[in-house]
Amino acid sequence: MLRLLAALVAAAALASPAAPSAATGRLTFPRDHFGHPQSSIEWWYFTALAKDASGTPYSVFFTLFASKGGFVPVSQVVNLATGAVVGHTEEVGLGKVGPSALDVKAGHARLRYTRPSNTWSFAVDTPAFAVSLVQRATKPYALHGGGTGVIRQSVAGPSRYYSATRMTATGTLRAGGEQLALTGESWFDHQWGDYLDDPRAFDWDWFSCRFGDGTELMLYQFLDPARPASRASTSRRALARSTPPATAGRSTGR
Amino acid sequence: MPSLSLSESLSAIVPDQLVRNTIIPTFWEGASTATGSRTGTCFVELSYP
Repeated sequence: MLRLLAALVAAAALASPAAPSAATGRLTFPRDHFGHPQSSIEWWYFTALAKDASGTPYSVFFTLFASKGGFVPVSQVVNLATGAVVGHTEEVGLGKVGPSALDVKAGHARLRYTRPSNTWSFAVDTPAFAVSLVQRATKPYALHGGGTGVIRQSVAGPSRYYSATRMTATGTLRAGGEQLALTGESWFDHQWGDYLDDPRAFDWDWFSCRFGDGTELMLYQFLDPARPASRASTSRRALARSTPPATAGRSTGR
Repeated sequence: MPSLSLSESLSAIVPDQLVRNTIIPTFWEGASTATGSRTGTCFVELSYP
């Protein structure tokens, strides 16, 4: 994760010093869907399982990292029938996400939130590969940290964090001269805080599950190989049913 | 997770789902099937040494 830090710090060097960000306070939407440029790092993170018209399954991943004037959008699509990587992109851009809207173009990537329809859209369009999904949450947003929207990012301090644990997803995939329509489901995470400078905040095992009975589970643990004796694991579940999601957490040391 | 009466086994759908980056670190972003107390699909994200 040190390269991630280096890349984002380099981008941040182009920006003015950031003011401390608030670590407390209730999340409000749509305000908190947008940017928190006072935080040292922020990301919008999407994972989807989708099929084309013939039933071929794909995993679709897109994220936008933002830090003090810099962006790193990353995408990858894998054909889950063959195992082939259909496409992968990773770029650097400059700019900030402000507090009143989300519509970012960075390199060949674009991410936007449309307020009236509560839809999240991302698109990557390169000569060799293109993917786009339009996604809409089918459940209320899950606020992690027992409904507070705040978790501890390892030992590095608080992180604001919520998810859309189940979203409809429709879009397109272009590769090898072929254009395919995609439909499926996705998961969205939005997280931000002031933990950019602590590498222990970026070393984790993370799971996001959608079960057939309509529930979801998020489980994670941070790893700290430099301090095995105090290595902490934290698990949290965000089980969302058809009613507003309940969140609960537990922390254990090991 | 005993508190949820949940016991799951995950299996990667395809064996290689590394996101091989050059600007940021490479990491695993793996679509997986879940079987056990409940069945479904998971994404497993692992930071990569």
